[in-house]
Amino acid sequence: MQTLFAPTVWLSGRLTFSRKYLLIGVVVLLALIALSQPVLQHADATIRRAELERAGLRAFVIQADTLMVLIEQRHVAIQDATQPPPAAEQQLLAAAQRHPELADAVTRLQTSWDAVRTTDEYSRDPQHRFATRTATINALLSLMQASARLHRLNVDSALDAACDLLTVRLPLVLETLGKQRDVLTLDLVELASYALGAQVVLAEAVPSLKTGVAQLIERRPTAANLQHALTVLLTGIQRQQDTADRALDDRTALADLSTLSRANLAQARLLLDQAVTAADAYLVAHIERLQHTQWSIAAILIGTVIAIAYLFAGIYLSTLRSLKNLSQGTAAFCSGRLDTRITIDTRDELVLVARNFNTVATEFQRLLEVIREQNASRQRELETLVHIRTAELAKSNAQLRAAGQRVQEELMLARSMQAAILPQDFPNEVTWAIHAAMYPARELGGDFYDCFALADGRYGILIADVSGKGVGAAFFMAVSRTVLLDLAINGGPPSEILAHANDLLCERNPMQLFVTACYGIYDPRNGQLLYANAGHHPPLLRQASGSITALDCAQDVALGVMDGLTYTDYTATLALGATLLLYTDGVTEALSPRGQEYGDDRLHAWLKAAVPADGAEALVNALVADVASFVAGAEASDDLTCLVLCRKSGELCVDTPLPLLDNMTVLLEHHLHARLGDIPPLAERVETALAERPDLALAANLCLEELIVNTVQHGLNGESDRLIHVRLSLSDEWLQIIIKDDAPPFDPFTEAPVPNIELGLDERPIGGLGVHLVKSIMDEARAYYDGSGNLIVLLKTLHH
Amino acid sequence: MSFQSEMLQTEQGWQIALSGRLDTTTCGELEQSLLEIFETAASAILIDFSALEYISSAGLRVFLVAAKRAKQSKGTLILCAMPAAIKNVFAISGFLKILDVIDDRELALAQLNRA
Repeated sequence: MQTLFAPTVWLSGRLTFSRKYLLIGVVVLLALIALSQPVLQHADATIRRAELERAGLRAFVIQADTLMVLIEQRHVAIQDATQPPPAAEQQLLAAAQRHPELADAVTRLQTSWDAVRTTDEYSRDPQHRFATRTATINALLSLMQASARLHRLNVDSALDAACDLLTVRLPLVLETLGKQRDVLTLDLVELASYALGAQVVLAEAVPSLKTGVAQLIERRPTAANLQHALTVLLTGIQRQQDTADRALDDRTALADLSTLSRANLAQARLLLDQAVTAADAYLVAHIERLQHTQWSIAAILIGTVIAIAYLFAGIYLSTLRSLKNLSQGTAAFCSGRLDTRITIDTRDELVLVARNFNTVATEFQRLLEVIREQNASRQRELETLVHIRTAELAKSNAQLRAAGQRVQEELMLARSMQAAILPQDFPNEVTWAIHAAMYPARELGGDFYDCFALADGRYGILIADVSGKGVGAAFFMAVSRTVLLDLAINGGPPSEILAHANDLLCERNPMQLFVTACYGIYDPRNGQLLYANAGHHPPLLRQASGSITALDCAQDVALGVMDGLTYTDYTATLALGATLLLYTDGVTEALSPRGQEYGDDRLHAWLKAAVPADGAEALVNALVADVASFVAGAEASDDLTCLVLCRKSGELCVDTPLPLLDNMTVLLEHHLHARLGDIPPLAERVETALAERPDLALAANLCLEELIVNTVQHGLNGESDRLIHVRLSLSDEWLQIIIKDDAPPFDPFTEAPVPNIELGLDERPIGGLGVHLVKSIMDEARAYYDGSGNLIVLLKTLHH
Repeated sequence: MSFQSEMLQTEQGWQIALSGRLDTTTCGELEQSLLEIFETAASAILIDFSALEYISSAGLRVFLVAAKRAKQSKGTLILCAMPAAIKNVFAISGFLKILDVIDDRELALAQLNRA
């Protein structure tokens, strides 16, 4: 099927709608023309044939006239020999000569005509004349029959009987009647046989005449008068026959016969004329009918073509409008107007297309709405999710921050604790002073230092550097410090302390950390230093002159590396004004922003230029500041620790005599244990001793309480069995109070911070007022350290 | 002479009379009492020093701590009728400027009523 229609589908696919319709129109037009052509041609041929027949009829009328003339002339010629021969009928001959088919008949007629003329000149015999003229009439009859054949008068089935009547029977009847009259007139011997022959001819002609007339009346109902003329003729023929029969016997009847014959001839002529008229009228009507048919076909053809063209134009315009609607609608939809709908008011298949388009558009729009809604919904979900996630993230961040802050706080707390376990109070004696500082690179450091008084009046100094940094190093630092301090406080030689500490640290060192350390014991009385070094930087000694030497050290191993090691003691002496510097590699390995190390040379140079007279604290601060300026804000690479021991150049204060008081009387000597509960009894005794001066008693008790509480709580660390000695003396002008303890050296009047008494309630710190009260109430307050303990001397004037 | 404190609760607030020696060994109880009272917001305390014989920095500390607490809890702490020697100790410490100290007891009571 597909293969069958492939060519037309192919053709249709390449034509616009207008050309498709044009093509169909042309094909239909050609088909109509092809169909109507044979009909028209047939009608045309029929018309031509009818025209030919009419021409034949016209020629026949002339021939019939000529025949009538020839019959009448023969009748005259047989009676009168002078009668001239008839002139050749030129009109008839000219008409006949146009048709080559009639040439023989015309020649015969011409010949017989010439014979008539010859006969008329040479023969006076009527019988001869009769014969020649009869021959002419026979030639004419032949021509008439040939002419009838030529004009197809005998072929037309519609008029065959009528033509037979006209062209054969009637001329024959006329000739027979005329000849019958002439034969009787001539009175020939063969009359009887001729009369019989004529009788036969007429009798045979009657049926044909009746048939011909009936056919004509059938074709032309208006020619009913033909029947009457035929009836009259037949009656006349019958009467002529009867008269001829009678004339055989009675010659007088000939006159009647001649009359009858003339009348019959006239009647026959009348019938002939009427028949010709009827036949011609029929042919004219027939031609008209055929022409009308032709016009009808043409009109139908043109009408059909116009109707088809009109119809196609309508279909084309309608389709075009629908297609335009579809095209515009589709274009509008494609350009984004999604609410476009196509309305087509026809009832063809394009409505289906439009309906499908509208369905698709509606569905598309609905789907788009669904998609939009889904997108919006998804968007909302996403936003909600983002909000939730953001909130969760914020919460996590807050938790992280809190955790980080907690860790930071813990670290800061650990840092504070680490700083707290390192001594912050340093001895600053009349003859010597120590100061130290540790700055961890991170929150927690691995360096540490310590300084502590030994029982025999000597002083221990320690500096150490734990390998590594951070929390692990800090823990190891705390352990190392505790171990070293516990061992050192008993006053053994540094080499033993370090060896013992090494063994202890090696026992519990899961992280394989180690610590370099330098431990020395300083004797303030003679400036002697006994020290040992476990892998640490050798201490630097600066003489008063400014010369720098690194102290001798053995190549001993750091603590915690392996147990069973021994360490070596060395001695050195600090002359008056000499300065000893202990430091960790955080000093020498401090990096500048350009990556340079601070280095030994820079450290030596700094120490050489230092001014020891400013004091140990000032030296430590200056070194830290120098390193800080060298590092210039770069991140510290390692913990920085340094310890400075200064032997002052001045005289020993302990040798300075107390101011001598005139007439000094001891009011009270009191010993009390270093416990707070022992203070109230002392107060009671003071009040008793100064009963006369309650103001002095209050002042004395106040000062005693403040200073003794200080010593008990800080100097002796709650060692309640230690004794404190108090003495009140009175001179003429002064009350003297002396307090003696055996605590480590401490000068409350120089070292205790001075409170700011101008601060408001909120800013005012709690505590720190005791020493301030003593200094305010007393006129003189001084502290001494005599090597075995602190001696505090207070003086207050007796005057108000 | 040991330290004593007589505490009297009135409609206007607490009236506390101190006597004896207020020192390191005796100050603890008083500090606790005062801080407990100031636990209640907007409490008022009038302390009569007229019978106090002695005070040390430990005693001063009690009143500084109490005054800070009073301020936090919108309370009132009025010190009155200090003997000269006691007042001198307050003066040396700079406490006369930051504590509400009134010499006359009646004036102090009037102020307590206003509080």
